[in-house]
Amino acid sequence: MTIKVYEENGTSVIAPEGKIDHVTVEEFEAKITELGNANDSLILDMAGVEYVSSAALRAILNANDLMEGKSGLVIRNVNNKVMEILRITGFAGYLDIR
Amino acid sequence: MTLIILILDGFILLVSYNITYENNLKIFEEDITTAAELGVQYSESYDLRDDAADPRPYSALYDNICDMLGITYLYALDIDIEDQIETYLAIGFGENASEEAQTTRYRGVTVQGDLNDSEIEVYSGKSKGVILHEKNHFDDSLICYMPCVRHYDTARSDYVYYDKPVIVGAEISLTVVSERFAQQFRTTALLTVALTLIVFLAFALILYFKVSKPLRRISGRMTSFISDREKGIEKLAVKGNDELALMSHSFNTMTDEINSYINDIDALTREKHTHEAELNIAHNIQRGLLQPARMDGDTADIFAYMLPAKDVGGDLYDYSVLDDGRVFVTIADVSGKGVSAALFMARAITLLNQYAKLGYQPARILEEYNNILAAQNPRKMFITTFVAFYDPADGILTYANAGHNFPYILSDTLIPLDEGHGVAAGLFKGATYENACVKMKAGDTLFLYTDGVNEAENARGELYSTERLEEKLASCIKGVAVDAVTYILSDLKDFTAGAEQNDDITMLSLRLKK
Repeated sequence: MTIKVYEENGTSVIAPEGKIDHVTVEEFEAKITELGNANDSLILDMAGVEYVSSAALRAILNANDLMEGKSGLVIRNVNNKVMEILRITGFAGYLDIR
Repeated sequence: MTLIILILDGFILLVSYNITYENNLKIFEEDITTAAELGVQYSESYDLRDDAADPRPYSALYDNICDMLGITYLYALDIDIEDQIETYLAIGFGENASEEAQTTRYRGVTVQGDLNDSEIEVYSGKSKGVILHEKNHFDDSLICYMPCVRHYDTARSDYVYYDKPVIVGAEISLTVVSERFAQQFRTTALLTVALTLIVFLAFALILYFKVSKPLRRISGRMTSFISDREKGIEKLAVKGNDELALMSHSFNTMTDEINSYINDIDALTREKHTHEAELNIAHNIQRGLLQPARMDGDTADIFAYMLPAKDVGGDLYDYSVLDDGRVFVTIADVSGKGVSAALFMARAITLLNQYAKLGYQPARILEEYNNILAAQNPRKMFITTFVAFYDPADGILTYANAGHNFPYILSDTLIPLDEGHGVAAGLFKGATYENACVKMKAGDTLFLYTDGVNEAENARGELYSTERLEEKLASCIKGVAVDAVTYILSDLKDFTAGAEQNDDITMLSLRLKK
C-alpha cells in the first residue's frame, strides 16, 4: 500500500492506494493522524482503496474525531464494496461522504 | 618446525664438511710444501749424486722431516725423461708409511714408467713447486714436488749447480688425510648435533610453557564452558601483555558476553513460556465464556462454531432459552483481534447475557449495551452485534442489528435480514436502534456469521465472498445431510485450503424443529 499526499485548493488530500488491512493500517493511521494534526481540514480520497478492514475503519473514525473540532474530514471516491461496509456498520451516517 | 631444524642441520653439516675438508687439505698441502722446502734446503748441504758419500745423514734427515711435519714420505729423485726412469737418491718414511714402500724403496732403486707431468714440469724448471693428487703404487696421496738445483761443495766452499736438478718429493698418504679429516669432522658434526638438540629442547620447553600449556588451558576452559557455567566461570589469569595475554583477555570478555546472552535467552524463554501459558489460560477462559457448540432444545437446535485467528479472539456468540420459552441468540465481532479484542468481547458477552435475561427488546438491549460500552472505551474499539429472540408461541423472530453483516433465514428461499440496521456499538453514545420482525416456520434456519467467513482468503488472495456464501446457503435449502454451519464450514475449509487465517471465524444457526 502506498499513500499519496498532495494539496488541492489549499486543502491537504491523503489518497491511500491498495488494501488497508491489519498489516498496512499502522502506516495509514500514522500518516492520517500526522496530516490531521497539521491541518484544519482534510480530504480522504478513497479512489485507490479496494477494501477496508475493521482496523482501517477505526483509523478513519479516529481521524474523523480528530477533525471534528476543526473544519472536518471529507471522504470521497468510495467504491461500492467499501461503501457497503460503511453502510452495514452504520458508520456512513456519521461520516461526511461525498 | 622439526623439518626446518633438520634441514638447517643438514645444511650446517654440509657446510662444515666442506670447510673442514678444505681446511684439512690446505693444512696438508702446507705440510707437504714445507716438508719439500725443508727437504730441498737440507739437501743442498749434500751432493746427493755422489755415490761415494755416506747417505745415512741425509736419510736420517729425511726421516726426521717426515716425523716433524707428519708426512708419509720424503724423497729425492733423479729423473731420466727419455727413458722414463726415476732413481731414488734418498728416502725418508713417516709414521704411516706402508711396509711395502719401506722395503722396496731406498737409495739406488729405479722405477720405470711412473713418471708424471708434475715431475717433468718441476724438472724442466717450469715451476718451483707443484702439488699433485695421485694414486700411485702404494697409496692415494698428496705430493709436492720441488727442484733441488744445487749443492754445497766443501772443497770450493760454495754452492755448485747440478747438471740436472734433483726432484724432492714430499708425500702425504690420503688415508692419513682421510683419517684426520674424518676425526675432525666427527668432532664438528657431534658438536653441531649436540648444540642443535639443546637449542631444540630449549625451544620446545619454551614453546610448551609459554604457548602449549596456556593454549591447552584456554581450550580446556572453552570445552567445559557450558558445564562450568553453573558453578561460576573462573576468569583466566592475564599475565604480561603478549599475544597469549591478549587471548586470555579476549576469552574472558567473550565469556562475559556469552554468559550475558545465555541469561537473556533464558529469561526470554521463560517469558515466552509464561506468555504462552497465560495465553492458553486466556483461551480456555474465553472458551468457558461461550455456550457449548450444540444445543438440542425443545423448539430448536442450535449449532455454533468459533475459531479465533490467534490464541484468543474478538468474536462471540451466545444463546439461551428464557423461562417463557423464547430463544435468545446473538453474534458479535469486535474490531481487531488478539488480547485487547478478547477483553472487550468478555465485557460485551456478559452485558448481552444479562440483558437477555431481563427480557428487554432487541433494540433496547442494543441501546443500553452500546451506551455502557461507549462510556468506557479509551481505545475506541467498536463491536458489531446482532441480537434476536425467537418466540415459539407465535413463530416470530424479533431482531436488531448494530452494524453487523446481516444474517439469513433459510426457508423456502434464502431471505437476507437486512432491516433494523443501526451503527456498530461502543463508539457513539446515544445511538438508536430499531426492532424488526420476520416469521419463521418449522424447519427454517436462522444463519448468523461474522465477516471472518466472507472475508476468508485462499492462497491466491481471493475472498470467499458473500456471493459464494449465499450460493452455498441456497444449496442447504434444497436439502443437505448436515446443518448449515457444518456445511458452510466444510466448504470454507475447501476454499481456503490451508491458507493462513487472518480473522476470527464464527457461525451460529438456529434450526427450528420440524
